[in-house]
Amino acid sequence: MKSITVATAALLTALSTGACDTLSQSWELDHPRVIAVRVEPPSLAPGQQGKITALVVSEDGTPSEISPAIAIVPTEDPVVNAAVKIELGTWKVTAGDANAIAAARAAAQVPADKPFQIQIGARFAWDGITRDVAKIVGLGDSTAANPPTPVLTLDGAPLTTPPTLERGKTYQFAMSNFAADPMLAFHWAVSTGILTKSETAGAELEIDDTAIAGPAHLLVTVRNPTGGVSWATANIVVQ
Amino acid sequence: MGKVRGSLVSIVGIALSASNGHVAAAQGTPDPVPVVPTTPVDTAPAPNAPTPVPAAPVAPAPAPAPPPRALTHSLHGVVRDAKSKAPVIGAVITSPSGGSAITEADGTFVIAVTDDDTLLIDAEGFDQVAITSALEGTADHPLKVTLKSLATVGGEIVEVKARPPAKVSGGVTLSRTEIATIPGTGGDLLAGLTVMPGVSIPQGRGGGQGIVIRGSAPQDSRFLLDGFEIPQLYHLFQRSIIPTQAVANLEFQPGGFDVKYGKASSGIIAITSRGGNDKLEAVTEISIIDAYAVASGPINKKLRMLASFRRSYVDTWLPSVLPKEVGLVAAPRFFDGLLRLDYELTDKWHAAFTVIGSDDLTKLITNQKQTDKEFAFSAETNFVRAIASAYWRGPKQTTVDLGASVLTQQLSFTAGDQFLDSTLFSMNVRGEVTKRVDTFAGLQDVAFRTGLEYEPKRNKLALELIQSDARPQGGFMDDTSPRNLFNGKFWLQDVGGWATMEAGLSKAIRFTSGVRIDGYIRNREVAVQPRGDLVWKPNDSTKLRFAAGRYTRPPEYRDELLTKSLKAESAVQLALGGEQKFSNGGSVQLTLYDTERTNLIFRDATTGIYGNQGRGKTFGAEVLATYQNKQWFAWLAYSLARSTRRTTAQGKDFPFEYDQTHDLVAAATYKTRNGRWQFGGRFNYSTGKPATPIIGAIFDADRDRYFPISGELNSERYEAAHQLDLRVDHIWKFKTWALSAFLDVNNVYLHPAVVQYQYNFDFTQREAIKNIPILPSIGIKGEL
Repeated sequence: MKSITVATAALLTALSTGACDTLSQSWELDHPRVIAVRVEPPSLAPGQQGKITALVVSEDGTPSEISPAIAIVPTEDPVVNAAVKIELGTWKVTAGDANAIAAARAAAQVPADKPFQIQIGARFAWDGITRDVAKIVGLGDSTAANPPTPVLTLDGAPLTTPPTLERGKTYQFAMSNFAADPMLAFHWAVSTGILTKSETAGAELEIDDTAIAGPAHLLVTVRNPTGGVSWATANIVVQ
Repeated sequence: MGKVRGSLVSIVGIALSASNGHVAAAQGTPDPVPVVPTTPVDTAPAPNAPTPVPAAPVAPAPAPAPPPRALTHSLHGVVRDAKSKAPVIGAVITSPSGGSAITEADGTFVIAVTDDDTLLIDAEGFDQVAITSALEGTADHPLKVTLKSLATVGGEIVEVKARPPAKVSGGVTLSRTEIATIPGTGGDLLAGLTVMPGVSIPQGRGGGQGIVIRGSAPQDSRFLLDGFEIPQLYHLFQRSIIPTQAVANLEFQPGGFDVKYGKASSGIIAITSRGGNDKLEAVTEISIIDAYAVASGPINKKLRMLASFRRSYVDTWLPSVLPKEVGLVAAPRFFDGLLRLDYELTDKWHAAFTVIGSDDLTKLITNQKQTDKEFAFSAETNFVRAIASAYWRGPKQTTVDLGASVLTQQLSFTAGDQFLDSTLFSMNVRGEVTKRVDTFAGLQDVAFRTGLEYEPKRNKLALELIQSDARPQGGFMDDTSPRNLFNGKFWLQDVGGWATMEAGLSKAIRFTSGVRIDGYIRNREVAVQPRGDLVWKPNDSTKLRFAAGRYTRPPEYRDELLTKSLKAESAVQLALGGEQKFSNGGSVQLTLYDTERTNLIFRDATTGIYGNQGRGKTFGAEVLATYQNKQWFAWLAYSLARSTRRTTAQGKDFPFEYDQTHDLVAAATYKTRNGRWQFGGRFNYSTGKPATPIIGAIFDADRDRYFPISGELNSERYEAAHQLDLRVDHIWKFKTWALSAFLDVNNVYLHPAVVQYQYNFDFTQREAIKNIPILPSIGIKGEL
């Protein structure tokens, strides 16, 4: 849900001119940004460790996976604060022992059968820019999991090699291991063409006449309600 | 890449209107000065109208103007109401020799004349009369002129040739003819408010959401129709809810207003609806956005009627002509109507009944394949106000004004999963008694006035709204922001009383002193508001005025009324103004003002609960210069202002969101000697409004959403707005009728104003949303 501010802006847009002409949409891979952040696993049993990884894209939409430049838990609780640390150049989340987590649960009045959630602040740096991200991780419970990695399909067929897409045509991208599910959030993005249904299990990509010939990138993220996330990326070629 | 592209929509309005006479029959007033019925100035004689005797001296005619004649002497006079004998303030006296004068608060005037001039005297609410300059009138023994009230309450107002004096410092009273000829207003009387110094229409508020006066919030000012508040002034596209032809006059009082006005801490805009005419009149206007019709005339000897109705139809054709690239569009539908009946009960009692209604519906629609439910937006507002008023003009200079009104208002607003549904029913009664005496305790021409009003309101309210002002302006709100939830009914009761005395200390000095007491019963608050002003008039062309007073606005705006503990916002206003009139038809008005605001309502930064901990300050200077003769009408308005707020008494001052440092309006019209062509132009420059920059964003990786990081509150400004509007009118005169046409082009050099900045999803890009860059309109009008 967006806000009244956004709706009002849309109203103004409608009554005005020139609006939305240059602003990029969230399905457009046209500037560097963080696409998703994953902790593997997203919820940690006592003593368990999880690795933090981000999917980022560069100016031309090229995706890559990177670790944080720095990560913290913005709290004064030393036990919780110590949950995030760097090991051999990789930032990891470590759940404390069962007693420490139980004490943290009690202090925060969290039921014993629920994970104690901490919010991690992470800064990612690539291509000379930095971006800040907030990510929640559950401690004391290992039942949550990241969704499986999506298996991409193009017009119903498995996507194995970079497909060649022609201008003036529309293509259907989907995932063979996911269908529409109200418990899951999908987000497609692409560096060429016009993408519609970008927040559904299947997206439509129209290669319009303005699309530049050459390699391009497409990706999809899948989020579940327990903080789990997975993604898939693909190279495509516009002819 | 696919982009949603805005469209350039040039809207060409084609106005057609026709009328067949529009002036109440003038009646001579035999006592004490013989007067001559005339037709109004600048108005072609209606069929069967009595021939002016002598002929109307300034009626448009192809013949060249007579050569100027030497002025021989000054004529002193005093104008009074024929029935109440009260001085008539603001009556305009014009002579064919080029001289003009306006009566002061005591009804006096002085004008330079030749020996054989025929002077025309115009005053709002009175029949126009003519007198000969051969009559004698000196400072010690002024010529006494009486005016007879129009047969209706607030009946047809004759077209005046110059502005009456303002009732407050910096205020202006305008006839609709003046507004209609100022370029850029599109002939809309209420849109003409924007030519006032320090006045702007808030952008991005949709229709009818108020006017910014002297850097105050729109809700700090009130709009009154025939003495009672109307909740809305404009539809979308800045169409006023009252057609110009249904308005008699408009008073703009930016501050320092009388004790009879309450529940406003900034300004008052008082509109008087127009009574029915003696003769049948009909006007209709058709444009591509809407159409309206106004009809007026007598029903019988004592009863007159005026009715208007407007309906928009832009929603029926706009979606079908939009380019595919336009993703979302507002489809506004609005209509309004007004009915006014005037009845002469007796010689002394007059009564009027007015009903006004308005309905606005705005929805966002899309013609794209992908409908984004996140943009779900609809807003519907409608209201009906019925007003019954009566006045009694009795002997011994005593008058009684009575009024009663009911209001029903519905507001329904949906944006995503936020909503507000409000149903309001309000009753309002008021009465005022005025008594004038020639002398009292050594004071001259003393007027005592006292009044009382009572307004109970029943409000049924259901809402779920994000606490919008908990976020910085322009900030981003999402479903995790604090929300207000309410579903219930409650009563509000406001009662007010006032008393004032107006008197002359000497011939040159006059003062007004009064007090208003408002009781906001639901909030258990009594607000005592002393107000007064002092006017010094050292000579006939110079006037200085100092005004001071306290003003309050009750906590009844949006969800403020859910917090019973809130007190009214308070403002102490000081204003010092001067006015200099020149014999050539020019005048200059300068006003300095300072407003100190306390008890301002802000949310507590940590609890989100409303409190009265805010403070505010506004100070500035305004200049209004006008020049008018037979061919030229020039207008220059400039405002320099600074308006700040602080969220707590000890907090840091920040520019208020409606702060506007500079506001300049320069307008002029020129009419050719034969009166067939009129050319006009208006230039407007105003400082961009303050805004809070967004300096970064944090990505919420779990919800796939960005949260902005705001910079210092209101630390940047939108781009300054400036534009030039041009207008040309031409009149063809035939034997029995006249046809006129106009071309009015707004923003001729294509400089659209920034309405708002819109950010992309991760706040790394922003783009200005601008107004339509050019808006030409053409129209024709026929008069029988």
